[in-house]
Amino acid sequence: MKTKLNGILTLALVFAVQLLFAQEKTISGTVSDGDGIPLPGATVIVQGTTNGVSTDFDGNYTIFANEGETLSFSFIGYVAKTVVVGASNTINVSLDTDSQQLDEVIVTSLGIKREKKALGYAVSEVDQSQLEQRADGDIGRVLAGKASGVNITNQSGLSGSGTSIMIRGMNSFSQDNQPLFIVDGIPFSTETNNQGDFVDGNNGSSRFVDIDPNNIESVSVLKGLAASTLYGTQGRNGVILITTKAGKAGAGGPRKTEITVNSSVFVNEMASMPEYQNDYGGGFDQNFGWFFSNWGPAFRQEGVDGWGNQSAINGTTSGTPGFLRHPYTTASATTGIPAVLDALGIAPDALQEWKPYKSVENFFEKGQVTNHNLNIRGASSDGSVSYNVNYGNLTDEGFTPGNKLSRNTLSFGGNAKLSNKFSVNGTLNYTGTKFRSPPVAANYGSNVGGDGASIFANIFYTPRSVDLMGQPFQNPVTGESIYYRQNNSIQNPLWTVANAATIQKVNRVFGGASLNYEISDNLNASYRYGIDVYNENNTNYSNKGGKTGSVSNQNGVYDTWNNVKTIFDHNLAINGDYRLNDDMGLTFTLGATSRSDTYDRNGVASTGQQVFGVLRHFNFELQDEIQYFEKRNIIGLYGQAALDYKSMAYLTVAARKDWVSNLATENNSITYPSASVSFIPTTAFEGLKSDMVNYLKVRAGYGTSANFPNQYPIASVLSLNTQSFQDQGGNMVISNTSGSQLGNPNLKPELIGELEFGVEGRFFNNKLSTDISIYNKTTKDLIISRPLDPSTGYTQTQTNIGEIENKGIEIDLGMDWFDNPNGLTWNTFVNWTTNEAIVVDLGQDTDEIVFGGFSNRGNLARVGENLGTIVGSAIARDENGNFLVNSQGSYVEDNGINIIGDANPDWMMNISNTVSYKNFSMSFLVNHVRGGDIFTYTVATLLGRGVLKETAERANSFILPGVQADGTPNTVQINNSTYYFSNVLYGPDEMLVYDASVWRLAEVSLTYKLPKSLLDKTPFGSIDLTASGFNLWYDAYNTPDGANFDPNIAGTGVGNGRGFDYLNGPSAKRYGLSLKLTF
Amino acid sequence: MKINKIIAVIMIGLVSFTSCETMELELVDNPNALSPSQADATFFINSVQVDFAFWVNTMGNRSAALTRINQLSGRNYAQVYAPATFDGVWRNAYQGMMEDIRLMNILADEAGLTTHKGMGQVLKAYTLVTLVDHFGNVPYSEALLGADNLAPNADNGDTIYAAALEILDSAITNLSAGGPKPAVDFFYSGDTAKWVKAANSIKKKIHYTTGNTSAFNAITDYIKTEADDFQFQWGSNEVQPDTRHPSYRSSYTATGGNTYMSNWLMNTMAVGHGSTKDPRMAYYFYRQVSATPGFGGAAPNEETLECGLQTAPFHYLASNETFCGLSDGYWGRDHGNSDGIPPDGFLRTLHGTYPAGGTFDDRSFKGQVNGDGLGGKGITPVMLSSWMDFMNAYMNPSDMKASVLAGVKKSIEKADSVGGPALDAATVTDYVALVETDYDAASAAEKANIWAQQYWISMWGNGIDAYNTYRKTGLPTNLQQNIEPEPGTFPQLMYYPANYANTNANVTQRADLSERPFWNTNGPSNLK
Repeated sequence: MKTKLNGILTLALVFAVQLLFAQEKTISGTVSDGDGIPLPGATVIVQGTTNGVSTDFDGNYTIFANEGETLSFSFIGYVAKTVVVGASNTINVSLDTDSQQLDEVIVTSLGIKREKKALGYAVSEVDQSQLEQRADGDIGRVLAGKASGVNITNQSGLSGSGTSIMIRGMNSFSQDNQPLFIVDGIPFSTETNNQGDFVDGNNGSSRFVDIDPNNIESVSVLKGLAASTLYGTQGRNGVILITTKAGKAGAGGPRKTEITVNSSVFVNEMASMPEYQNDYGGGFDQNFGWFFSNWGPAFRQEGVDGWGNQSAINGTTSGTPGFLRHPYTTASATTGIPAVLDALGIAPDALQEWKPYKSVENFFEKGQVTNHNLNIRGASSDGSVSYNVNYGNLTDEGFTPGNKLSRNTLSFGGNAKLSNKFSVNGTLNYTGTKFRSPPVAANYGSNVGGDGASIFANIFYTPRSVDLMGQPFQNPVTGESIYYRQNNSIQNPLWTVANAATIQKVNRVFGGASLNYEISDNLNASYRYGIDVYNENNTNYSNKGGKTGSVSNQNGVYDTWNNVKTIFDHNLAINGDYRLNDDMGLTFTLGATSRSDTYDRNGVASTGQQVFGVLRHFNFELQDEIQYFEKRNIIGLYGQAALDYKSMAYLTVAARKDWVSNLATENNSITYPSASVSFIPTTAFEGLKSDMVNYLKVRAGYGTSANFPNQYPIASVLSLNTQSFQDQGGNMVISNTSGSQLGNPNLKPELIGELEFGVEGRFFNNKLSTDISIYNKTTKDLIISRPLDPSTGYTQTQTNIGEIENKGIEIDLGMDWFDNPNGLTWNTFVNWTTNEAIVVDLGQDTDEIVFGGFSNRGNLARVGENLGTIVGSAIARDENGNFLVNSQGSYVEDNGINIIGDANPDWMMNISNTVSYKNFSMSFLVNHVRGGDIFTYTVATLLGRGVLKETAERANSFILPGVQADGTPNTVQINNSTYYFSNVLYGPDEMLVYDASVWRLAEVSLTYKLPKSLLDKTPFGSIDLTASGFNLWYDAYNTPDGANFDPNIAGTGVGNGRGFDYLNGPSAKRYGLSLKLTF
Repeated sequence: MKINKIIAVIMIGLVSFTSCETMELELVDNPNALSPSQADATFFINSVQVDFAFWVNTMGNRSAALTRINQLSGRNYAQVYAPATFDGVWRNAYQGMMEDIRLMNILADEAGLTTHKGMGQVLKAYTLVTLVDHFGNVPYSEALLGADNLAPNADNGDTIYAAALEILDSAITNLSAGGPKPAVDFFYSGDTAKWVKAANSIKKKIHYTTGNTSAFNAITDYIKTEADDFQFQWGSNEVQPDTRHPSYRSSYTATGGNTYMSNWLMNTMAVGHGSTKDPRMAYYFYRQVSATPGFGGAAPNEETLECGLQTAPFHYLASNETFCGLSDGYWGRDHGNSDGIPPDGFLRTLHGTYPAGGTFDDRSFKGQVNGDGLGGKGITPVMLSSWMDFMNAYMNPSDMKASVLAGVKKSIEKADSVGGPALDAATVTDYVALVETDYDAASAAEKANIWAQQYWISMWGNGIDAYNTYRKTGLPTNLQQNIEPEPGTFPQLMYYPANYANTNANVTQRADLSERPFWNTNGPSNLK
């Protein structure tokens, strides 16, 4: 007791002496950046003490210090500065930006922020300037070209159509390869709920369309497994970490309330309009006829192929040379068209001129895209409470009549630091999205292939002589489709627009709340609860009177159903941060998480419309159920520890164990570790660092993950059909039949392992930056949805056999050519990616599996081949490899599984440039996909139907290179239509394959920033005006010029099939103006 | 502290509210279907019967197209039926019918459902034999073992034929055991005696195919009258479910016909006997128009029937056979013709009443759409009494004439069975007499052709036995050639289905179509 008192007295004495000798005073000032703009939230510390403050939102600070003490000023992204306290009571400091940005902090898994130099794996970052004011409301498409290693494909150019994202190739050919989306720390459902399959119609948005890119603060793309281990099985295909502006609320301390308004108007136009010929009209073999094809007579009178020889046109039938009888007057009586000519306003002797009508060109429209976004952010004056509110509105009219995407988003985010070591933050987002489109389905060059209808199935090959826009499309009495063919066997595209559609209306709420508790200075605990719930209200209808697809479709169909998807996600974690000694630090995270996914579909499918045009279920004769349910839970435990040594060497180890609910207990869990190291030679070795070499980092990582199957793969089922047939009395006959899937109780998760090396560096006074990654990723115990020989009793089973190896290189280069803040700046970024996915093993019982399409035309998994390999029928060859030609001069077709192409590109490159001078800045993004094939019915149909400009030269004949059956060289001449129709369009599949290499001007923009001086007397903080264009130009230079074909298309939908186009959608280009205001 | 408490309460609330639901780890049963233990034997036999009808109809159509009963679109035999075109029938045969029969038999044995079992056996035996006829050696003894054998080896065709005979014997025993009858019997409405006749008739067909005369003749309780005909009855419901005859579905659509009738068959029947058109024609075919452009004095039309303006190819001229079209609105296509489709949906000839359930040709000449005629309420013949006569004619040459004439008579009498006006007895007798006159006047070779032609005409609706007979006998010799002069080898067997050859490691796709079924090692090689 005595000693204690003595101690206190001693301490008091020391303080007294201090007070006597030190001149403590109040120092105030402003911290600003190099341009004099105040830095709110900068840290000011009296060195050697615990005395520190933050600047307020005007950059001002006040602190007590003694003369002679040193004040340290620091702010993230700036070089820290120290100032010795002198006589003055005011110290204003200007911090220089840290051009080396060695301490760049980025968001990694589970939202853990780490210095980039500490990471042993590649992460790509995309900031808001690359995302906002885009003409496309789909974040997937906006990300295209902005990160290496990421391959983004549009399902089509329809507004709101699906988008496929694949990072570092395909891990699996039977399971989902789309990456995980994490929005503000919460898992976000991104599936594409097609309204059917690609044959019968597969319109449907990818659900990341529910995010407004204008509301995004930043995106981190975790590409490798070492980066995503903590996300467990969900992170196996890479992770797209999105921080929204709402989710960003609270970072950065106090700030002024800031209001930002973004407003854009764009024109949406079809980019891939083919160049049609205008010399010949509809018919076949130079004769006129109301055919699908355009191999008819010329639009001139003279010559053997002129209309002068055609009795239908030369006046013999019509009475007026150059005119033919209106097709509706010559339609078969059974079509009902002749009976309603009067009502159609067409005289029985009506004529139509024989001329090109440019029907396709006139059918498509220019859509308008408007995109508005309002963001309000602010914080309390002490920075402890901050908030963000964001509202976005998008209306995107497609170039296809009847296609539109509209979206309203509203987000709230808030963050509060409570007094008692607790802090809470939360986000809540609402999105209402509506997608509407005419039906789209696969087409094989002649009407729709499946049960439904397709807007694109009947438009592109419209014969030039057909006046689509100038004649009625609907029977005024029955409402049914009418068109030029005498038996009315083509559904009029205008009728399809007016009478059939697929609609998805989505109401979605997602967000979450998290609670952090600071246990001590070194330790904190956090709990986060996330929800993502959407209700996707689907409608698919066609009024009765359609002319394609199934009888049901022609009788009128009306399907309505709701998809309700729910994700509940819990995450509990403890984070620690300890200095072990002067050189070494340790951070760690231990956590537990549980996630539950439920997908519940309910609805009704009606057929047999009674009163034309009434779309209510009561107006339909028959109803059938639509019902499907799926639920899967995942529980995970994870841990990560990171050691750093002298800011030059870093080691991170992590592991996760997952349990998943849809496998047998003995197979339903798996543990996967990862480890990565980062080493900074420029820090470690004095003298290495120079003006030439400013920074060098080498890294290596090994990561693993597991892929659990979806649905219910281990259960064998029995299918019951209550309406399988009818007996003679018309009573329903009920049947049950064995399920086609052989349940496999031994099914295990796939195990994916990835080894990754990288080098990062900055050179020449930080002007050149490089980031190179190479990786080798292997999927073992591949879950193969293995097709079985039906003679086993089943047609497929899911098993663990086989192995896939993905190898790839990613290179990111950045160059600051000029960097003068008040003059010219010009920088260039290039990213280059190559990836090969080779099948290493398929097990002993299987030598090949065709997936992603049809069983005889699809993508192939065969040992030694790339997963993007395209197979189909080929031109038959003799033993010497010569093409075989039949006696008619056409190719002999070799059916079966022939390799006819490879959809996997050799490499992809994106080049972006930003040039700014004073208040102007200009940027453009060019990308080049080199190699990779596409099987395209668009090109084949345009050629085969004789509408493309390439088919206008008709005097020539063709002799196909090859040999006849007897081995002699082929000498049989064939004409245009035989070549293009019988060999290109309806010949071997091989004839439909083209190299899909493409150059593309993906984005170009010019921004003018109003000078500050003009804004001084206005409430505006800044005004930016931007003119921009997207996909303005491209050239798939190895496809026929006139087809203007855009190979950026996923004809088999968002899935694992690649390199197919079934005439399912042209591509879009958009251009317009944007205005950005801040208050 | 107060805040701490509130937060604690919220946390506990959230965790307990949802965590039970998110922690459940045994969600392995699929709620979207029944589990196999919930199966019902009657539901199985229902499924098998309907599957069988579709299956026989598809196989019957493809066989008929090769043998000119139907029109074949394809100038190269090797390309007409690519391996993948048989994926559906392969799947339906094994995973559809035979696996369901296997599962049903387990339940049937427990419950003493001998009739179910016997019916399944008859359908299975016919399916197995037909598989052998089309594909040669196929899996049987190693089939349907599920996970125990994912790559079943094929059995020799003769082994499977022998097994089919055993299955039929067992079927006859089961069908005679008096077990409870399934609620729905699409073939015989529960008459097991007729099922026994059907089983015996399939046995006779097997012996006919393999040429075993004594065994063929030893079976006497078989289908002898129209009342015993083994056939599936279709309905007229368009959707949910579509119960219409598959040929009706493709002939009677909103935009007209989608298939062409065979010019050879129409011509053979139009030429008829004794200058008289075959009376079955009005039942077999419906003409939507009265004239065919370019034929019988009608003006040609390059738009709707371009070949009406052309001369026949050299190989057609040389053998003086019909080309392009027939007069009087019989508007079909030649064997192998795969040209593009002109807008002739309401012009071309359609299926008639027999067997597709279409419209009787009453010379009304109207475009037909779905719903017209009998609405698809037709039949698919599997074994007919007339066919038994034609087989008998071949197996017992001494009875040939009587059998042929009996077969013709039964076949003509059959033509009005589905619908259309009743044939009067005199018409039948008169026409049979004309056949007899021609038959009597014919040389031995021509007699054989008359036999084969009449057999072909009777098989309208199911050409499976025509395909077998053509490979066995090369008859009739006057079949229309393929419009392609070099169509390649006539298929002695089909390619293995793609879902068999590509997924079963023990199978190699056959290189060409010249391999023969086991029962035809010495058959003719001049098939065209």
